[in-house]
Amino acid sequence: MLGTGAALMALGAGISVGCCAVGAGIGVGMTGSAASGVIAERPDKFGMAIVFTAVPQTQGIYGLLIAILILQAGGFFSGSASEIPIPVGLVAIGAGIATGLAGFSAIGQGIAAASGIANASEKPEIFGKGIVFSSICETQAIYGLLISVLILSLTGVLSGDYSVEMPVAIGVVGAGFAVGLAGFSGIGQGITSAGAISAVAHDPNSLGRSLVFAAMSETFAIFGLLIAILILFGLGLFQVS
Amino acid sequence: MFFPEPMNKAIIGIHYLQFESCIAALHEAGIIEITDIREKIEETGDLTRNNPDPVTLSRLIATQVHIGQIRDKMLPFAQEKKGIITSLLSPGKKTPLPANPGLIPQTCALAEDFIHDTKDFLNLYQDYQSTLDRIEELTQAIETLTLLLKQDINPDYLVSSRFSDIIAGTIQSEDLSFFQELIQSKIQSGLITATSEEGEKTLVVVCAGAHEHEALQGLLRPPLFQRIVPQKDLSGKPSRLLPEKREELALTITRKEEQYEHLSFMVKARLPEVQALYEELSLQRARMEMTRRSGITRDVIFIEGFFPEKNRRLLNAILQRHAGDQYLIRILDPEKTDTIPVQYNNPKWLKPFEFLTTMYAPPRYNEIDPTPFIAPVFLLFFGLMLGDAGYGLVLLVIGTLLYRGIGQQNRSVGDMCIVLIGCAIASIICGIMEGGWFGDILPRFFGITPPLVLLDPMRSPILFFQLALIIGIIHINLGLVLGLWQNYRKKMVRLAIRDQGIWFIIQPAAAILLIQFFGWRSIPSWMAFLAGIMLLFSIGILLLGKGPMAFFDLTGFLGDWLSYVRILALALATGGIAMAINLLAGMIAAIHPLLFIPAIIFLVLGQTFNLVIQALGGVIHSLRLHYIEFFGKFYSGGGKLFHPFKAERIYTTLPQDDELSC
Repeated sequence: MLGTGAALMALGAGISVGCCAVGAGIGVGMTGSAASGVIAERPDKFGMAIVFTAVPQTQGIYGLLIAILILQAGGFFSGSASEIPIPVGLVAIGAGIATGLAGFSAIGQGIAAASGIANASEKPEIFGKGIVFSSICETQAIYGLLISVLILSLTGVLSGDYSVEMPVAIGVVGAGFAVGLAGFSGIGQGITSAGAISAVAHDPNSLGRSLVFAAMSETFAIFGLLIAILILFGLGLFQVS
Repeated sequence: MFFPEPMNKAIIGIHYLQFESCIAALHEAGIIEITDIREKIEETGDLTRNNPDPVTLSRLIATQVHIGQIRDKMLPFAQEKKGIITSLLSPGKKTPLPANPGLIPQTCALAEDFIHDTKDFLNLYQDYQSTLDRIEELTQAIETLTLLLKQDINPDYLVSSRFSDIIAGTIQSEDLSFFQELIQSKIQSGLITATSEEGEKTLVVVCAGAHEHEALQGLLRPPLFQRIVPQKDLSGKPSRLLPEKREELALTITRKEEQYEHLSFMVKARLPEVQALYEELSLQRARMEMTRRSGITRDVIFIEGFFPEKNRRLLNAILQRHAGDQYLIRILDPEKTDTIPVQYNNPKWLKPFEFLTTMYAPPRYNEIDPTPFIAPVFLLFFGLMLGDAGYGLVLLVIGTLLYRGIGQQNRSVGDMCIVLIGCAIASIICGIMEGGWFGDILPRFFGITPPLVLLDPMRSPILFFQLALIIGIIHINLGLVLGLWQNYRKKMVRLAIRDQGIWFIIQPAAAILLIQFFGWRSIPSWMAFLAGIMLLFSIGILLLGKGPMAFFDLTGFLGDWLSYVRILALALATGGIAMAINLLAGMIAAIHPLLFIPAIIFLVLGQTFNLVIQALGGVIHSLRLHYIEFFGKFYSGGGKLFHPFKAERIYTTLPQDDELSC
């Protein structure tokens, strides 16, 4: 019979892949819309448009990855998911929240990539810079993925060790929320990056200053990451080597 | 290698009699970027604007345009039908013709003779176009006659005369009753004389008195009514005309094919020559247009420009060879307003990586060229991020095939292929160390434990996480050292301390305090105290230099460092997704033996998708780590690339012993 722990683990996997899919879907949708507009006028820009459209997809892949890791750790693929303690399920929810919520940064990435497509179709020389500005919004998702992997790995869940205690399990959900919600700063960063791409297309010398503005929103993601790491440390998950 | 080529600015004066041959030689050598001297003309009274001879220039342009038109007419008959993959992997070898450089009148005369000799081609081309027109006419006539065949109406009858209008057309069959009611209600003299159903469409012929011409025209419009407009020379019953027209069409198509073959044969023999002539005329025109940038005194024509210091002897040798003693060259100090062009100064093996720097921004003159640092680290990052030997092998095969195909014809593509091959080799090496062979395909399906595995990110993510952070801190500090070195060379000591030097105090001090805070090691209290003082001192300097913005420097540094964790994230993503694809393929195959082939197809498609997405991610994120985290420490770029006045020959080549060749 399926236990509550297994159900919670499934919930964690669902949060991870579902939220990331929403974020990546919206992001790719915005980029795809800009791409369609551009190639209607300039069919030769199809390759460039495809690269930009692929940029916000990565969050979806991160969500899928964590979901797979959770399901594998829970033995869902081998049909042995029934014997899972509740704290392990909570750990999976924490990991799912970290990557899932941070996956909403793909919306910001979509905004930036759409601007990249529009500008690079007019000025091909800013393609590289457009890609850079679009990809900086992915940092939030990477922080989320990092915390998810740390949660799964440091609690031992990833390697099949189910001995994690309930207070620790509840604590890692907090770490997941810290980095996951901070990941929404990626939307702000995407808005700044979209403007920055236009600014750099207008004046290539403004690259450095535009990067500073674009990086400011990332500060809040670093706050979230820092707090998440401190939570994991406070829970005694970092072993002294 | 670490800085762009040293550049010289020079003014060169050449006697006007030797100017054309000197410029032609400099054009072929491609060693000097010629700037516009006209701004100097106002300062120096003797120097006047030099303009090309208008008669020669117009003759040259007219000949070039004429040859260009012939080339454009020939090109459609020379195109081989190739798929995209074939044209990438085996684009066909182009053999350039020996160039026939000469003075402009000679080249023009040669081209005019060629135009005269191509009259037979142009006549046949004209016939071919007429044949195409006739085929179109016949196709339209057959279409009309086929529509009228059911009622066998002579197209001649479908005319507007003094007393009546007779109009034929098609409507949707379902609209027939509506159409009949419409005509009866709106046109008093209207009569639908014939209808015949042809599937979804129905042929109708409408007759009406001429006094209702306007009203009838208003009703018989698309989308309800598609009018049949017969061709002028179409006269007779469709049942008689149709076989005749079909036979004529068949004969005309045969004639077209014969003409096409004949034209293709002629083009095969003459296209290389016409392309060579067009190239030669274009180069001649570029040289004539260039003279607008020069100034002239009574006997001497002056040009000004930049050339790499390493080409100084070559420049002198060319001028000596073509002008004897009738030239002068003076090296000038660049003015403040001058933008000195930059030329990369890298060994041959590094050149393919230069486009990675250029994609961000070329270095400014006297700024460090980051290409030697990008090349190895980019490959390392890509290798670690993709981390799959199987994917690496696939990329190696693709890169090698592309390099041997289209890479041989296009230098930029060739450079990208070399970078791709480098990335593939890095992926193979890192993939072996990470144990990735199309994910976990070896242990899952063949029971083989991957050999030589040192660090599997799926099994030891924490160790990989630490490795990523170690690589990150080394990379960031390399950037800081380069920035320090650059500022020291420019004698900007204050900037060197504030932007780079201070971080060499902050980093160890923060590390000591963090170790003490987390309790990883026991730190003597005096050391912790000293670290605290050093940290406060450094932050104070930062605040003094940058004000409140210094806060973002601190968070930015932390963010830059943590950003390298993406190496782990992408390595995990490659392995994880590949593992999921293998798992699902295994599950499909396990359902029923008949599903084995669909499982294989799913496996191949899934792995291909993962390879494309992860390779793209590897490139983008390796670049990001360079452009943001690494360049942010020392590099701003924004230089203008050196664009020499250079003859780009594709269809012709100069003999090595030619006077113009160097």
